[in-house]
Amino acid sequence: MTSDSRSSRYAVGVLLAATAVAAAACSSSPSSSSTPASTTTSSASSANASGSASAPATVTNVTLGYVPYSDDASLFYAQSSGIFKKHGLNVTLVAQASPVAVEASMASGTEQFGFITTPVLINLNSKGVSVKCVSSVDGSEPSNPANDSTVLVAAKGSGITSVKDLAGKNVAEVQLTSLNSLAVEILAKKAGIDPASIHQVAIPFPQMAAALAQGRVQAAVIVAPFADTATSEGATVLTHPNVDLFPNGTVTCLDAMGSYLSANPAIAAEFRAAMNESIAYSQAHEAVVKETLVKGLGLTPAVAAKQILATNWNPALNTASITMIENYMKQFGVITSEPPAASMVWNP
Amino acid sequence: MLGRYTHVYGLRLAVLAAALGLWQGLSAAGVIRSDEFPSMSQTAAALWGQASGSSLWGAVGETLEGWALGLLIGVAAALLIGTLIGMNGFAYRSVIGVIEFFKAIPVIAILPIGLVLWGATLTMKFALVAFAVFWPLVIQVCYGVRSLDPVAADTTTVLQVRGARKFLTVILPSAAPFIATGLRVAVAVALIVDIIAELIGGGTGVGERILVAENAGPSAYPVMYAYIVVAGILGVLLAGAFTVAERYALHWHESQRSAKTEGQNRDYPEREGLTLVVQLSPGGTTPGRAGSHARLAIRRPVPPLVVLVGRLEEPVLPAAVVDPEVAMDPVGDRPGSRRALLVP
Repeated sequence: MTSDSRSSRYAVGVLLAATAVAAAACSSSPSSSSTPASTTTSSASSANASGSASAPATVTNVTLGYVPYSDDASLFYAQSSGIFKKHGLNVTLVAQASPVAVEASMASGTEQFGFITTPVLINLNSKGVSVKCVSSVDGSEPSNPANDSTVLVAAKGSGITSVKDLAGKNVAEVQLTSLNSLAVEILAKKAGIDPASIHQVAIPFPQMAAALAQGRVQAAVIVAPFADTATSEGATVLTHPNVDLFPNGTVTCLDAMGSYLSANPAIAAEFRAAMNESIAYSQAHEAVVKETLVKGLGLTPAVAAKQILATNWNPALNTASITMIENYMKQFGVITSEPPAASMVWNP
Repeated sequence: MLGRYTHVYGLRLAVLAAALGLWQGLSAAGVIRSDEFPSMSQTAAALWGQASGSSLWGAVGETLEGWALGLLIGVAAALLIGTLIGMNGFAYRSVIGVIEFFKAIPVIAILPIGLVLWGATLTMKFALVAFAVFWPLVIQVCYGVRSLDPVAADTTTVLQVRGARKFLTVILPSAAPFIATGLRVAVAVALIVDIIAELIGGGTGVGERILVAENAGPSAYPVMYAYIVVAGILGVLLAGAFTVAERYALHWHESQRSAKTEGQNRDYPEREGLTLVVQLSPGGTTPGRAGSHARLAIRRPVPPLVVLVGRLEEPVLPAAVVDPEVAMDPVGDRPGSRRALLVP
């Protein structure tokens, strides 16, 4: 019953997003390709391709939609340190609430690159909208729990000590369509309980600690820094779902539309090179890169330094992990068709 | 006079101070956890911090940009289309259902379409604002236009006042109170939609700052609430500015005058601004046209907010007053019958 209502809500959401994006892909791609800005960029890219690739002579304006959170540090650094500029890219960053909003803006042609989570990437591709990961945000998912910021916590006094105890309990998820909710279902299945017996409740991260303390939910998948509030109130960490299930996996990336990538391969190559350069620098100079969060997220320097960046710093996109997430999504009835993971990663 | 103002504003300030004090008290007493909801002093400090940099003013400017453009487009379109629909009974009856349908659509439902069409841009913001403002207002304009007094309408026809002049001097003033009510709502709705578009869609401005601060975690909550407070202050200021503008523009209307009499001062200089004389003079200003025709003489620098009344023997507007000084009949016929002065 819960599963039914959940999946039907899911289907509606996905359909809405997919139709919106698909409609725009049909209606606005001709107009976007004829805008002066795009014409400039494509001519610039062909010039780059014929000239020397390392020192582009012209600057290309691109806009990138991102969802503000700590793991954007490498992205902010690529911007503030001039790495993007060095690669001939003048990037405008636009903060948006969710990957779906980012993808819709990309469909409008006003954004060329954007932040996406792997489930959304798979959803769109399975609905026939071609979007591809161009680079990782700051590397792949870590394999060491100490480097991870996403935790499954149980409320104080809930009596929950393992995933097995979640049956019949309310579990808070940031979205019922997210990687986190999928992870809880997979964990439940692996623990031998029926995933449908867990009541998943959508609650924004900032309100999860209060929901746990008030007993509205008995467990939650929560991220730092909100997790600190929950644990300070006595919640206990059960596990790190992403590290357990997708170690070294690609769970988020910076993507672009397939049509844009085939028209502008040189720009995409420069973008990927710039991000990889920034991620490599971030690995060696984590403290320096975290300072970008002061401006990027409005944190104080002390709070910025304490942020956990959930990454293994490996910029390679992990196709096998995308396939694995896709298989789970098929298994739980989220998607019906399974496009090959290789088609969701840009390979010029 | 002054005493009453002081009294009213003093009371308001006292309530505001009490609310802020309660907020601070609840935080200090630990009823509200500071990492979930910051105290009033933390929020005020964050607000001060934002206001002393350029961050706050940039965001306010970007929000007001979307608000103003969207309001301008939405209001202009609603005035034009509402008037056209309202003036034609058949058109009105035909389309009112469709308009009511669009009016009921929450903007948040079409936000994804806005994003797909225009992305997270200023265009997306003002397009959504214009959409949200248009439908409720166009209905108000229709009602206003249709409420035109039949005698005034007939007089306009007899006096051969047409086109733009008819719109500006007869229809618009008659519909003005309806439009004003619609505008008052539109001003608030436009701000709400603009900030929602920024918060959920991603255009830059106050809403976007709220989003970034929220995602940054508990340490940035004071900043988040500071921007929420800014949104509230913006709402109060814009609504207040509109009320003042409305009072000035519609001071001749009964709703404003009775509000005045109920309110603080009765010595409102309402007679100052507005004196419209409809003069019927044979062989007037347009050569070559037979018979009498109308000449509208606006004797004061008046906004086009005037109501025509042709027959003062039967005042159709309850507040119509004849000013004996100017209402003398130039033709020598019955006093007051041809030269109608309106001092509502």
